[in-house]
Amino acid sequence: MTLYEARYNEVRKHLPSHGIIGYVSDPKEHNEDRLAWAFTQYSLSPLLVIDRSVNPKGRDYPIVIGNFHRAVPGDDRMRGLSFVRDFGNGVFLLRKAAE
Amino acid sequence: MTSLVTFLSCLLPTVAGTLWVPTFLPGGTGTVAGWGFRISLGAGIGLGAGSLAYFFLLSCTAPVSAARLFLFEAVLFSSLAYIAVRYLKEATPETSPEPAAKAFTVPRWALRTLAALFFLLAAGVILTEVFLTFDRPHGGWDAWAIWNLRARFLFRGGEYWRDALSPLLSEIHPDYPLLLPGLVARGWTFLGRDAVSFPAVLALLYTLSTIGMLTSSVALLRGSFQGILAGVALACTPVFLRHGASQYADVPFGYYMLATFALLHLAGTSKSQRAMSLAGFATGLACWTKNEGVILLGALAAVWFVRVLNSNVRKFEIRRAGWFVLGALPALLALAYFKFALVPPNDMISEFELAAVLKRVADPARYLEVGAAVVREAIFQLHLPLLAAYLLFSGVSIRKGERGAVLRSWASLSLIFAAYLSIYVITSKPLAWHLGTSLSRLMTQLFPSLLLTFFLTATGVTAQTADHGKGIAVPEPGRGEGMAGRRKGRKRRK
Repeated sequence: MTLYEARYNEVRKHLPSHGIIGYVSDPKEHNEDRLAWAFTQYSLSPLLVIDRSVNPKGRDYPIVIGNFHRAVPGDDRMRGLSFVRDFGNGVFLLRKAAE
Repeated sequence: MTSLVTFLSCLLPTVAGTLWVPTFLPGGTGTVAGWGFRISLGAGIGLGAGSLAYFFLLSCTAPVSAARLFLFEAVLFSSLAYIAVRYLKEATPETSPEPAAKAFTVPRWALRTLAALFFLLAAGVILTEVFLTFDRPHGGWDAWAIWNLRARFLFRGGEYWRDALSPLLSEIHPDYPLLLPGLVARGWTFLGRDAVSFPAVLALLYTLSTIGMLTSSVALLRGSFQGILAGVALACTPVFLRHGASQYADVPFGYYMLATFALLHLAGTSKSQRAMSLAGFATGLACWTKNEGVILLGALAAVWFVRVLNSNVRKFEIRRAGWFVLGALPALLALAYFKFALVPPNDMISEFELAAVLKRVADPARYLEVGAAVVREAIFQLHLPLLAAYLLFSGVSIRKGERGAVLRSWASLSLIFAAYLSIYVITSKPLAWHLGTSLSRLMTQLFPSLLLTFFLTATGVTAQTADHGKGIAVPEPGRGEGMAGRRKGRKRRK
């Protein structure tokens, strides 16, 4: 957990101090998707981190955190998103592209 | 510095609670068991009051600074402690029914050996908890995904602390009450940072306080030997220690449930209205810890209602219930504000569909699955067959005058247990998953109260003295073997 939190140290400086951000990740097996989201939510609190693949409301928020363990997915998950910065270790800052 | 502030932030409510608690107890707190009960109960009562105070301050004046919190608590706790000390001087011991139950007598050295074993075990419990915490410093899944996460929202969120209760976080149950997250955030406010160690210290405190309260309450009510035996039984239960170190809210909830039953028993046998109000406060804190607190409250209300129906002193019973409600009121008001003004409805209620529930209720396979899981848990985790064997060996012997109180405890526990099982029968979640993720925790909540009621039911054991021969004996007066016995001893010496 401590190491997982450390992955977000840099990106945290570029996020608002409170409010809601979107979350996107690559598909994982079994329960790992939820585990990865929960780790991220715990690490970035008091921000509300809304998983776009679970809650459609997550697609409304302009700032999106990417948490990829294997590869950046090329499917529907990434639609309408553009990369802002790569923070290494699979952590990306993304932004909802203007419609 | 972190250790000192952590220590002090726990010390203030613990000391205030320890000073405050005896005001509500019907005498008999001057012995080792009495002091054990006073401290272990005072710690949880004080910490619970600290959580309520923090929530009050947060709701009124967020963000909460350490200075403001300290000032508020200092005024609150010192006022309560002052009132407690003042009233303590005025308090007179209330009468208790005579102990009249058979008891086995064991040699004095057996008591000493058991006491030595207990202290060794207590040291072992501390070491185990520390090792488990080093293994998982952030606690188990629910600790960081629910309880400590919400504490982070309360502490880090400042004026936006209500984001912790957003319906967008429905996956992490925003409707869960705030005793534990509030306590953790309170400690972090004093520390000035969200140290991982603080929730772990609280977890250890509640684990030790539960063992301490069980040991001391049984010692007060049934004698030292039985008390230590009860403490050993709990301290030797690995699943209790595991959940204790997990930083979940189940052990604190079990602690408040145990406090409720111990205080209700004391209140019932001594006719003390003040003990009733403290029992109410403990129940209120149980409701402020977990949603299951409402089940505890419902079970107590149901048992009380049956008692009133069959009682010929209804006015007296209703007055006692009034004292209980008065004690529960601070926490219940906080809970009502939290539930009705701040959070979305509970997921089990919002997902409730009558037709689907009726279909599940009519499915015998679900009962079998739940029953099998409960039996496995009872045998392999809580080792209940050992307790059954003990009861077969010792037999049942409830003190005259306490039978009603003990039976009411059993009835309340049975109702709570039945309610837990019925939730599994009707749950919309996959049953195997639901059982696998929560049954062990629910049974751990009940276990300390079960042990208390068990040792109030089993035949007592007293340590041999020069005055007593072998065989059946009454508890030793004035030697820490029951509150009424001690009072009798004091009177005799006077």
